[in-house]
Amino acid sequence: MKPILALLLLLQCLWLAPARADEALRLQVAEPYLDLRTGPGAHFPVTQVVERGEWITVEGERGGWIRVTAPGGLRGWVSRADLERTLAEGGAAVELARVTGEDYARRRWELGFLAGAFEGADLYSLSLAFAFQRNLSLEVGVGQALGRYSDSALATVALISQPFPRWRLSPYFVIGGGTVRSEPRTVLIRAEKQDFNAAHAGIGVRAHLTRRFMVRLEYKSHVLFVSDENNEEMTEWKAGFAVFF
Amino acid sequence: MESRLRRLLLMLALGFPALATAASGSGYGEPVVEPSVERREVAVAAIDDENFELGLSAGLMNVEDFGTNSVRGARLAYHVADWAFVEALYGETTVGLTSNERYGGVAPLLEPEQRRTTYLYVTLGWNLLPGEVFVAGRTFTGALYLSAGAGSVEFAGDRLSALVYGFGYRLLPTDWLALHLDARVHSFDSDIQGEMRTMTNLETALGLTFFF
Repeated sequence: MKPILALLLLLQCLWLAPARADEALRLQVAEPYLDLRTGPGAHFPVTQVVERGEWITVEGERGGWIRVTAPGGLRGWVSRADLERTLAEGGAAVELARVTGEDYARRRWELGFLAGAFEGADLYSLSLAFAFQRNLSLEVGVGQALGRYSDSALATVALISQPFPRWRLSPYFVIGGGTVRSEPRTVLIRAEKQDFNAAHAGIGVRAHLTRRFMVRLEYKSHVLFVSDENNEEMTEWKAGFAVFF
Repeated sequence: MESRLRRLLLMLALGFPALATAASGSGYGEPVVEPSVERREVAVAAIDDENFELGLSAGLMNVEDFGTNSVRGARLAYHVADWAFVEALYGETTVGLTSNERYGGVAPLLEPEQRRTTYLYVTLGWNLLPGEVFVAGRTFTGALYLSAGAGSVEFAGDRLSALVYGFGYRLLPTDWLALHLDARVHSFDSDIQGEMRTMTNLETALGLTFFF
């Protein structure tokens, strides 16, 4: 089923591709010439130039490089900085929409993938957070810890407080709860899944890398309510990346 | 002494009004030199980005002791910059019989449905050698990349934590279509054969992806 879904998505992409060409952006070269590279990257050679006054058509962007076509069948890739030295229709200066520090400070949604350890077992987790205030966000997360003797599945809801959302390296505090499903791995003991309610508290730090990307590092201490008289403490640390939008 | 004092007073008496008139004369409203820069409008351009890459792959995968079998996969990549990408990889294969099962006359280790092996990873990739290749008189862009990541493998009815690393070549026949040739190593610990040990498994695959 999954491959069929993927194929359908691919076909959709194929079908959508030509539709984009209609709303093309046209820009006029204002510097003496504009370098066209053969690929999207500074490593690729400049084999063609477009002269001042010529009009180029913007086709798309990939990894910070912009694909353009120019009169005479010229095609190539232009850096963002070079493109911002061209002029739009009517002689207006061009500024490319970019993710700014302000966008980072005002981020609303955040999707993260982090990997690390949960009480010695390898942990993979996926999380989605919504910032309902500049300093507070609500995060839901799922995790899978794969250990030598047992596996655990985690589902958590947490409140995240970030006192300095504007800082490029921004610390945060987490408090929350959820469930931990534990499943022994060994074949000798009859494997029984057990669900526990749990609470956790932790600290972490976000670092804004580039555009919409952040790196996250987090430490959490979980308390599992095993029985009425007995609690079990478990530690979790993880690192990974997140995107905001 | 007196003359110096008088000079100071004179300077104060004459100098201040002179400074004051100079300041009012040049005025902040009317610059002496007219700047030749025209005040222009700024057009903010939002360009449609094509940083996502989605596609399918097929190849061969060897699972230690379980032989080499065909593998089918899917990939979704996001190109963070011209030199880096993040990728989710999925694949599935069906492992064969071990030598013991085949020749040793022992009972099958796994049920038929346990032979279905799948993997799911998140990897980081680095476009180590971007460049151009020349095929049949035409020029294409491409890149040799390294990638490494972690995820889980479902093997022998068990879900295992696994590491993956490898390299690949991406060739772009057009701006939105890419051909991939990948070689990667899947590494995980399993006790399926008795004692716990690290299994190292090789995969080579050909893929086709689209940028969108």
